[in-house]
Amino acid sequence: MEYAELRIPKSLYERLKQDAERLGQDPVTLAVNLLREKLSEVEEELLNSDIPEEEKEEIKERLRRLGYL
Amino acid sequence: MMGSMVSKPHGGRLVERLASEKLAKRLAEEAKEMYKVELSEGLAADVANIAHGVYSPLEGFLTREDYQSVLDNMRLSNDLPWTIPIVLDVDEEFKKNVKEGDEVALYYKGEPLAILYVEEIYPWDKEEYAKKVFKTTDPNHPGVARTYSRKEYLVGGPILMIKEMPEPFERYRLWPKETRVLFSERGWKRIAAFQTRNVPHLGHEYVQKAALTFTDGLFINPLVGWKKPGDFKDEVIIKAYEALIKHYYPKDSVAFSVLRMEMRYAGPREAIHHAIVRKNFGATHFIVGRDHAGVGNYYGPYEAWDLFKEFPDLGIIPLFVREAFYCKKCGQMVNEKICPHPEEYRIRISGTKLRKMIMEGKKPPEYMMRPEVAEVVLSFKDPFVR
Repeated sequence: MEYAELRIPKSLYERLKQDAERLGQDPVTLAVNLLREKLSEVEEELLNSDIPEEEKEEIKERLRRLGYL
Repeated sequence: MMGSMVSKPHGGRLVERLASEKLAKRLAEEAKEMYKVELSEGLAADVANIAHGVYSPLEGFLTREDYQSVLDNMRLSNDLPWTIPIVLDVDEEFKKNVKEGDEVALYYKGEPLAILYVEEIYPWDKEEYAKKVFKTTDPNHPGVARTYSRKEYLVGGPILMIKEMPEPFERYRLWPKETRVLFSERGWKRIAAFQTRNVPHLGHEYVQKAALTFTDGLFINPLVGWKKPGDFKDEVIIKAYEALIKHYYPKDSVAFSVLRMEMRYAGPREAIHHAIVRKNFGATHFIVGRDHAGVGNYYGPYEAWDLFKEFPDLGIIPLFVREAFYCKKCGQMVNEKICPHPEEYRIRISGTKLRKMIMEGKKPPEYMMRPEVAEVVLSFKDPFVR
């Protein structure tokens, strides 16, 4: 995996370091995991995956036919 | 808003790689002139799963960068969690005849199934694959054995499906789009998914009902397709669940559908894969029991639980449930966390013992298996894969 550098405020880094110590983790690993977690939430919110109404009706019809609804 | 009801698909968007009716007709004609690859059932199922978004965000078979990243980091090259490489193996002849940029026809049972837009053809190291995915190179491991029997090159690129794969259990085949509508229509917000390749015994029922107690719905989603000898046949699993649901589950709290996907027996890595797939179906929670997707003694009984800790961005909540057993003192199914009694009171449900009883035509005791389920299983002359 390739890496890039990221600069964060010193005060934020101190917080991160303290929390990582308490959790018994490496501060960089903790930061990367927190970023991953938060970013995936943000990205999923940004994308709209709703199914068009007409198609949804067709799906409901099949589900009714099969006894799911 | 339906999207806000259930889990967002992995990567944020449900992939759909299905040709429109008109385009499919034209492509089926054009396929006759293309280089053809006849797929096994498992690979054809992978194509269908890509096309219907089961493997979202994948739009095709992995190209080299993603393949290597999945092997090394258990993530796609864009950092999204992905633990099992979805790959198409091809032979020397394919490599000689096809180049990057070509369109190839993927056939199943003599019918054109999909078009593959070739992006990359590359060699692979099967031993590296085995070591990283299965944590062993032992050819006695069923997944390793299958890996070693595959062809020498991999081909990556997006696919477009032109014909549905025939499904003997069509009545129970639901795609992610359909389960998402189903969950939404039933008003379920928290959905616990249960992966299985077994007929249900009381331990399974206990785990499922424990999860259902604090969620809105239970999604039972057995795998159908290739399994190792000794596993239960697909039709036996389906009939057994029909009986269990009919007699012991509240109808409106359970959804049962099958997923055609090969078992890899890759233990922890496969547990993550199973969770991602169920996230795409709309599940918010995924039940991870003892030795998930394991085989023999290759993985620790709760090794999969540890691996989940490496994926805070998975987007589906794992529910770690310990092995259930019957406690004579408690008088019910329990687990280590809630039962204080010593081992002498505990009756563990051994899969091997259960299989042996069934093989001998004996009805398992009621603390192991519901009588209605046992009857169904025993009604099959040969319930096991040979």
